[in-house]
Amino acid sequence: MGKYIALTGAESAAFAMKQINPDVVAAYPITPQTPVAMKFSEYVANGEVNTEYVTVESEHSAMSATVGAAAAGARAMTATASNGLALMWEIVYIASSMRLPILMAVVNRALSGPINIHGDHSDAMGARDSGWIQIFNENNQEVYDSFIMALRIAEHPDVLTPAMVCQDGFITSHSVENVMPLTNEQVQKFIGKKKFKGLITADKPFTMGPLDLQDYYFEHKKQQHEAMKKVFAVVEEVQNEYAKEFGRKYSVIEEYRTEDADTIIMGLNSVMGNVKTVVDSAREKGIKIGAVKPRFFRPFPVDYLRDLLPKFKAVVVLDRSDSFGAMPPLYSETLAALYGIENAPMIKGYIHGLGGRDTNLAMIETVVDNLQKLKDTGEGNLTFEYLGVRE
Amino acid sequence: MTETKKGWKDLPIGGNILEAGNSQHYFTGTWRTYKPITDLDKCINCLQCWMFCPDNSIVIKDGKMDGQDYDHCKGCGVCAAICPVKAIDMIKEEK
Amino acid sequence: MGNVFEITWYGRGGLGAKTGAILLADAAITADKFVQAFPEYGPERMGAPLKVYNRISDVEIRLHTAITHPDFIIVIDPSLLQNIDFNEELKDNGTILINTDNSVEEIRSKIKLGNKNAKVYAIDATGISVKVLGKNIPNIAILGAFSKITGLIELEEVKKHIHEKLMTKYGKDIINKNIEALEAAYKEVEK
Repeated sequence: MGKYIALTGAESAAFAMKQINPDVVAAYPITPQTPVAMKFSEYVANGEVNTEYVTVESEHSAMSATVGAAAAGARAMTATASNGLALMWEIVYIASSMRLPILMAVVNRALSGPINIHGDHSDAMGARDSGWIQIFNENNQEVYDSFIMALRIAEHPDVLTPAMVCQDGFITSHSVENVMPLTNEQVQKFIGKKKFKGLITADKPFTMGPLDLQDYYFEHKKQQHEAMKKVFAVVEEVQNEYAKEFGRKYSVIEEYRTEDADTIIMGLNSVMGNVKTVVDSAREKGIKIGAVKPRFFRPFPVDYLRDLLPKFKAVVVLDRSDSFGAMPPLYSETLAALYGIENAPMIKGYIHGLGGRDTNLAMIETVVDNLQKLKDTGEGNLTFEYLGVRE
Repeated sequence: MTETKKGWKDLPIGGNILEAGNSQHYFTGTWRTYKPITDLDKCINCLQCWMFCPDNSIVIKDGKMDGQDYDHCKGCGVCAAICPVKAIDMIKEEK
Repeated sequence: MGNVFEITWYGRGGLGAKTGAILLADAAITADKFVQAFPEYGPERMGAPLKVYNRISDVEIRLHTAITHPDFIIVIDPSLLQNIDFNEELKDNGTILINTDNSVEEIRSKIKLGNKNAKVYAIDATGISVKVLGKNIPNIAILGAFSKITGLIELEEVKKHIHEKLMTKYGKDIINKNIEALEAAYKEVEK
C-alpha cells in the first residue's frame, strides 16, 4: 500500500477528482467548498489533468454546464455548499431526471439565515428528494475513497444517477488529516472507461430534456425510483471490489462496537468520530454501547436498518439539521423504517451542531446517560430535542 | 393517436426521445381554420413562403414550390402574407 | 484519547499560525504519526485573533472537536497573552511556548498561570523574523523552537515541507530566509 499524505477534506475531494481526471468540471467557489474548486483549478493550470475547467458566474450555471457536458457524454463534476446548492436547485433536479451520472462534492454548510458559513446538513437534507445519491463521510480518507467509489456507482448502467459526496464544512473540509491515496493507475483501472456513451452524434441524433407531460412524466419518475432501488446492490459490489483491490472496507452502514451492544448512537459525518471516542470511554465503564453510521442517506438504507436496529434495546439518532415543524430527517426516516417491526428498539432524537456548533464529548456523554435512561425506563422514547442549546 | 404507450420498463430513460424528427408523425393539419391554396401559374418560385413557414409545410419539388403539406400546415397564413405576387389564397377550411 | 498530543496556537490573521500548524502536521506525518491541523474559523481578516489546533498521535485520530485542554500552547502573538487563562486551559504538566523578547522568568510572572505546573519557553520569534525576513511573520521561527523543545518533528523534515509547500508561492529568496529563521530559533531557544 501507499503512504499517508496530509490533506484537508476539501483537498481530498480535489485529489480524488484529479486522479479520476474528469472531462469537464464547472464550479463556482463558495465557502467552505472554495478550496475544492481552488485546488482543482490549480491541477488544471499545472496541466496535471486533461479537464476542461469551465469558470462560470454562478452555481446555477455550474450545474447547467455540468449537465450539458454530461449529456454530451463527458465525465462531468462540480462542487458546492449551502447557498450554492440552493442556487443550483432547479438544475440539480434536471441532472437526476436526465439520468446523468454527475459527481458533486458537497461541503455541508448551514443554509442561511442568519448567514453562517459553518458545517451542518441543512443544505444536503434540503436536496434529499432531488433524486441524487447522497454519501456522507466521517473523515478525509472516507471522502477520498467515497469519491472514487461514487463514480462507479453513479455510472453503473442499472443506476445512471448523479451522486453527492458530502463532508462537514470546516470540521473536515479545512482540517488536515492523514489520507492514503491510491496511485493514478489504480484509480484509472478501478473506474475504467466511461460506458455512458456520447449521446448526440450527427448520425444518431435524438432529443434530450423534452417537455414531458401527463402522458409520460409519471413513467420517467418511476424509472428514477427503480434505479435508486438498485443502488445498494451496486454499492455492495463496488465496496467489495474496493476492499479486495485496496484493502479498505466500507459498508452501507458502518457498525462500531455493536457486537454485544444494547444501546447505540447513530448519526452522519464527522460527529461520529466523537461518538466513537465516547463509546470507547463508556465501554470502559461497562456500558454496552456502540455506534452506527449510515454512509448513505439517499437511497435511505431501510432494509439494512430493519435488519440491524432490532438487535438493540434503545437507539439515539443525531441529526445535524432541523425540519421545522416536523421531525428531523434522519430521526424521522429511521422511525419510519422501523414501523411495525417486532422488537423495534426505543428511539430518541437529538438535533445537534447547527451552524457548526461544536458537538463536544461532554454533550455526547450526556446523550449516553440519557440513552441508558431510555433503555432502562423508556424515558424520552419517541421524542427529540436540541442538544446543548442555551435556554 | 390510438397506439398503446410504452410503460416505464420499456421507455428510454431520462425522457430521451431516441427517434429524431418524430414530430412528422403528429398531424397538425387538422388544426386549420383557413387553408392556403396556391396558384402555381402566378408563383415566381422566390421561395419566401418556404423560408417563412413555421411548420416546414411548403412542399418543394425539383427546387420549385409545389403547394403545401396539408398533413402538417396549421393554416397560419404566413405564406400568403409574405407572397410578393399574391399567389396564395387563404380559404375557409371545409370540415 | 490518552496518547493524542494536542496543541493550540494563539495567533492573529496574517502571522502564519495556520501555515505553521499545517507544516507541523506535514512534518509529523513523515515521522509516521497520525495528525490533524485545523483552524477555528471566525470571520477571517488580517489582525483578528484566531486559534489553530494540532493533534499528533501514534494511532488513528477520530476526534473532530475543538481542543479545550491542550498539552501544548503556542502563543504566536504576545498581545493575546492577557486573554489566555493558562491555568484553566493547559493540561497539567503541559508546555507553553511564547513569542516574546522577555526572558522565561519575566514572561512567566506576567501570564495567568496560577499554580499550574507548566514548562514555559520563550523565543523572540518576531525579533528573528524581523531581522531575517524584514517583517513580522514569526510562524517558521516558532516551528524551529517547537522542534527543539518537543523533538516531535525533525528540523530537516520541516525544511523539506517548507520547500514543497511554499516555493511556488514565495520563491527561493523568501524560502531561504524562512529556513534561516527556523534554524536561528532552533539554536536560540533554551531547553
